[in-house]
Amino acid sequence: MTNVAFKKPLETYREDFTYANSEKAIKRFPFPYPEDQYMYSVNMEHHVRGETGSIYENTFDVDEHYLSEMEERRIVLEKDPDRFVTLSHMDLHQWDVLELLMESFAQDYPKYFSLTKDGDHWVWENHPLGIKHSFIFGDKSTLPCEPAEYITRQAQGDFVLMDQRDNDLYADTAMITCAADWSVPFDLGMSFMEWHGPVPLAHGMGVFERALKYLLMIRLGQPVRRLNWTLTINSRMDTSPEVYHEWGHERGSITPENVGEKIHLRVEVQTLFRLPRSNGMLFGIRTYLISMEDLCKNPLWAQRMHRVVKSLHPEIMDYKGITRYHKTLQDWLSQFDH
Amino acid sequence: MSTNFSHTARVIRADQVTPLIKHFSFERVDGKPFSPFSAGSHVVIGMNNGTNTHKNPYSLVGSSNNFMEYEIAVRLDSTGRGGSLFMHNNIELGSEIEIGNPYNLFPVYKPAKKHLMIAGGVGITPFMTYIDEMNLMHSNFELHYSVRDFENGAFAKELQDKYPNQVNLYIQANGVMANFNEILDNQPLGTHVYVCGPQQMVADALRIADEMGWPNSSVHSEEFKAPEPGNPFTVTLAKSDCKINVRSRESLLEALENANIEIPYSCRGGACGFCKTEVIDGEITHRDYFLTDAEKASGNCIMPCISRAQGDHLTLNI
Repeated sequence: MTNVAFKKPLETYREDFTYANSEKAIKRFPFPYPEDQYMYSVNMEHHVRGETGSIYENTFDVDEHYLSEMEERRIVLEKDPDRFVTLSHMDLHQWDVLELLMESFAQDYPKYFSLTKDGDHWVWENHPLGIKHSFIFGDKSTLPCEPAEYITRQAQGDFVLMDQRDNDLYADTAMITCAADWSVPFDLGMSFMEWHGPVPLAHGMGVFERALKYLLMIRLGQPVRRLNWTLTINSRMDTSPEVYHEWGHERGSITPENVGEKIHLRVEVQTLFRLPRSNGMLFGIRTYLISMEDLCKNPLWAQRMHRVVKSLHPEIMDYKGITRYHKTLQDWLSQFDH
Repeated sequence: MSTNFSHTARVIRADQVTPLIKHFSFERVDGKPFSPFSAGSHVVIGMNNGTNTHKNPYSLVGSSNNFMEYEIAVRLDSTGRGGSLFMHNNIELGSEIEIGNPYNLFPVYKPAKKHLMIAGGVGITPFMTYIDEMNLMHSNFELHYSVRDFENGAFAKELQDKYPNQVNLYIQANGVMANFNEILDNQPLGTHVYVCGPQQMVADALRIADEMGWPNSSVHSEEFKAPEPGNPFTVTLAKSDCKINVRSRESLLEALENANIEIPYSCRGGACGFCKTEVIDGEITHRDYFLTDAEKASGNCIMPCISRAQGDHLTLNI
């Protein structure tokens, strides 16, 4: 059974940035580079269970930051309720996701979550957040908010619910409070290609055609995953365009002295699940943050990070917002690569 | 995606609902519930006749809210390869079969403002779960169901009793024919039409919809078909260096499976694309809906669930 040492007092992802990783969290961090050079690819694999203690031990990873991340989500939604958006044809998808998350949590973390079903009468308990709620599955009026909003306020990471039609996937419901510089109210309802429009280079390589064809064929009970990454200044989860004025300028704050503390590698473990009742797809974006200082405690990671940063394609660098502090970071990382 | 998930299930009800259609209910032998599924889904049923295994896809027809049971309806096809005949004659209460995870190649178009269903004969099957979902979601729907005679109209009475205002029954024996021009005329903007039934009926409905100016994206049809028997041939497997004989009532996919070669599949009817296999040598008779015309012309891939050799041999790169 998985035990989680939830961080208390709660950590912050804004203002004083008290977020920090324990030794255990550093060790299990999903380092994303299989090679010394990074380029886009259709890097998908089956989402199968990994070894005990790894981030792949359970279907959805609940870690030491759970309580802090849920509080961060609450703060973002309070300031901007549009970070959860849904279209009217997405009810079945929403119930699918509620069921998938509740069942997975209850099965994988029985100490923290429980789900009791008596026909459509369900009782959900979330001990860490102090929630106990009885509701009728399929009846929205028995929940305090939309079903997908309800459950994703209790699950780490961002979530997009996609409707599958016309051989395409449409981003028709989303809970996005830790976006790596994309806007969910802007992208709502977009097709797969529209949504990925801004990504450089990959379109010409045919990456998205192949990825979409693969995703459309994902089957029930056979989820897949891939890793994506960017860099973020400070341990800031909410780097969305809506609050660009709060974080954009921080890219200019990097000096040789503060690289290790301020620059964070931001890795998204992206998972895709076929949803049974709606035939839609859940796209989970679980974000992990680690400071350069902590990352470079692992000499192999430090060396590879240097080589990846050094050889990064200028267009990818620009797209990920790294250009401004690229040289400072590369110089700092060079100390680990001899 | 090589694993073809399946559960062993037992027949808990088997009713002859029309002279040609048998309605089966299954439960899992391990006592666990089946997965929920979406309207329009099919499952592949694997039945062992003692010497080899037949696998046929069938639409689920039961309620999408009772997962202790899966239900299918099987129409007897005496000219087919024997799968439906076996289901009718040999599968009875207590029989055990293999049942795969549901897959959907005929999903409901969720944002539609109205759903217009056109069914003929056993083509009613996917609409059983459509109607269930539409009723649950309070969607606007209409069903037009053509049957040869009332006796042959599977589920006709039950549907009419439950949805008298939405279900329109056309009994051909009484001279009542569905007029697709009338049905497709004057539908509100945002209506999507779904067609499932005999090939000729589907073709007629699609042609009329096209002539009336319906956008292709608003017209959907269940496309996969059952494999047809053909001439026997030999298949050589280049990588595993062996030869297999494909008999006339057996599909290439079944022959490979009976030789313990696992190929991923879902629809077994030439539509989903899972079983696409590379061909090195031999002429192919393509019968699928998945490959593009260019791929078919190139002759270097085949959908073994439904397509066969044109001559007496094929060489596959597996």
